[in-house]
Amino acid sequence: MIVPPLYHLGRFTVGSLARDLDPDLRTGLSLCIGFAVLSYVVMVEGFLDSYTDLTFWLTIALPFLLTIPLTLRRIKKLPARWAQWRSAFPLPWDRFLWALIGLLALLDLINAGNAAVGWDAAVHHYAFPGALLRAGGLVDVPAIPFSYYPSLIEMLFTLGLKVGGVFAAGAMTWVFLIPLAVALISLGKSAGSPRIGLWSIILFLGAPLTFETPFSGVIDLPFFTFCILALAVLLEPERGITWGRVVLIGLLIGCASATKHLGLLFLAAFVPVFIWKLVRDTGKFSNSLGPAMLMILLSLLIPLPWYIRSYVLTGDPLYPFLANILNLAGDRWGSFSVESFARTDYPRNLVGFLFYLWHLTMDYWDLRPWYWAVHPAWLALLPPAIVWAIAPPRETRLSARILSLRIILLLAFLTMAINFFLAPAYPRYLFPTWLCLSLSSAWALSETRRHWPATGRILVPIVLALPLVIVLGMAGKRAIEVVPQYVSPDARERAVSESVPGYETFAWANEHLNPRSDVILSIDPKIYYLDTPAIISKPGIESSLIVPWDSQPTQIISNWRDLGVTYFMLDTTLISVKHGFGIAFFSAVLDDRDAVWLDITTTRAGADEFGIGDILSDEEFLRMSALAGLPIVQDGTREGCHLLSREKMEMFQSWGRDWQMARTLLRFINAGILTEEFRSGPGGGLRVYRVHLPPTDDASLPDLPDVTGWCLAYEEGPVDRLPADST
Amino acid sequence: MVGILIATWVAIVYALFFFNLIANFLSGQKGV
Repeated sequence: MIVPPLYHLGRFTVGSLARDLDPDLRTGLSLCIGFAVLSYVVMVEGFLDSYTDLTFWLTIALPFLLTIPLTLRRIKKLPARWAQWRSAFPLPWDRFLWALIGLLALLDLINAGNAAVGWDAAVHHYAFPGALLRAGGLVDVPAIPFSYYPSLIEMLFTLGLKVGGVFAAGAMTWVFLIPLAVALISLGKSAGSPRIGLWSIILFLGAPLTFETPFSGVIDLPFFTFCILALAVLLEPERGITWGRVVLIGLLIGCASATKHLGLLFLAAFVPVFIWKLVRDTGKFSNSLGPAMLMILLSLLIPLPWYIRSYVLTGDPLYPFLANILNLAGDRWGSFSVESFARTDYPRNLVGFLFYLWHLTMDYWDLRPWYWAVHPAWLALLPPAIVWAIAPPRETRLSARILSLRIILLLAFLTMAINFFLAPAYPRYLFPTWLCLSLSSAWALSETRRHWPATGRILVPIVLALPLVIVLGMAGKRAIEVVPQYVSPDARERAVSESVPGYETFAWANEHLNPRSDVILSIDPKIYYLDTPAIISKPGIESSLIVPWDSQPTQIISNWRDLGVTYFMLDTTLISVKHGFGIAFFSAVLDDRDAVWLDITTTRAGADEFGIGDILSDEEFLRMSALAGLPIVQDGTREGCHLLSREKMEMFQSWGRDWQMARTLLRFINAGILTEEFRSGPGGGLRVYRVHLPPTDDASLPDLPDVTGWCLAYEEGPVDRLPADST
Repeated sequence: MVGILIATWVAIVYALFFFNLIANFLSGQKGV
């Protein structure tokens, strides 16, 4: 019911702007524009505080009923479109690849019904819509720091969650697979053949990294579909650029920016590419400036309502994006930082950039699950593609397809360079790059097949099939897990319980807490699972409602009192939280001394006395020390006894505020301000504490246990004077 | 000759990639 009227609306818009576009590309554009319009309708309804069943069903049913005749007319034309599609891909091998894509898409659609949604959805993309639905409109939700981001897709999720639950919300993003496919086919045509487009779809969807984008409540698929459609319109080979196409490109990049702030970075990369193409088409640099200005203007105009909302609510139109650089909302609390959950120590220099793709393909592993691997073809086929683009064979030197390849490679280079300098080494922030590299890889593969048929016959199936088989296996396995959830509520509950560590704690909170009167402060940011209003307080992505964790305990108590906090949820499975408690302990051991000798047996016992014995297991205790470069590693080099210096401790402490949070929490527990009510998950990792605030903010708190005795002072060294059993 | 060169390079990258992938899978590496 949702798709047909949006398609007609989008088709009308696209037809008005660029009637001469390829019909398939127009179909893809129509869907995207239609969904964008729907998003803005839901946004307006939100500003009017009218998130009710009636409004949402009217939003869906009325356009559907009004456009039934148009829909029937389009359905009659489907056989002709199908015949066109078959004639474009006559070979059985091509159709087999389409069948694989169809199978993957089908599995993805089944997986859209998975109740156990991913981390991003539970923290932001479904958590924010869930809060809006509870409030009945598009209200300020300061408890979720991500709620000030542009929310084009979250508006669709709001509608989807209300009318069809997780499946409808997931299917909203799944639909974008269609425009993505037609955009890549169109770009393949511009690079010489629709088969290049087909292969690029296989290469892109064959990357394990892209596996969850069509179904698990993340917004990347719509984001990069908007981006790649803009490129497809720019390079569409039928005619040169027109004002209508410029408007269309501006709308698309605007939609990308209204989906994610990364759209602004894509815009910065797209402008040089856009100007280059126009200069090639018109022969004059000055001819490109007007269209470029219009395109940029529209790109900023589309997300403007979201920028205004953020500005009105926080004083910063982009909050919390680049908040640490722009600092426009300086008086707000919290400390949002992408760096808090992504690695940043990759060298940011020329040599680092030259090996960046290698690093992301081969070396990058921390904080990345194995199933977020990128596609090896993007690295493997980049050198041949670059050689062909720089020095093409004589017969293709001046052809439009070489220009397309060069533009695609330039866009890949620029998007990667911007990511390299501005964002952490995080493969998910590079989707536009991966799309461009899928196209250039397919191009290189196609040329290899053309020039060296014998090699190509072996190379093509291996390059295309290997990672795709893994992704198909992953999607199939997930579908087997999800299918029972469609028929059994118990299976849904079980699926969530198995995939969300400590889910029993959420379930306990939902059963025992009062959503009307209780307020939870939660270190676990997956607040989508909570019925009771919860404020995200995980260090690094904490809500701007709470004072920074390194504040004085009196300020924290006062802050909690103002917020009416009644329960506290502590997730000790988070690595950063574990670090916090570990650093707090090692700081206490060192105290005000310059250096002490540690050994594993005594310091471990000291950690128990400090109150973190059941937060860090023996293995975690060692691993955390190794991560920080602390000397308490049983490597045998000093007979198990190691020197902990103030210099090392300060380096360790510089990792963040989490250790000061840990100190405050331990003191609150010792003072009886926090009393444990429930714990579950691996090792009892997710715990609920009841909050008993003292009558006054400046209540005296007990000191933490003195653990300075759990080590030897430096003067008592050297090593050979340490006890023999200290290993 | 160039075709074989490309194929060899692709084979090296794929081999290293799958070695890494399997190693990460076996180590049970989890994301955030």
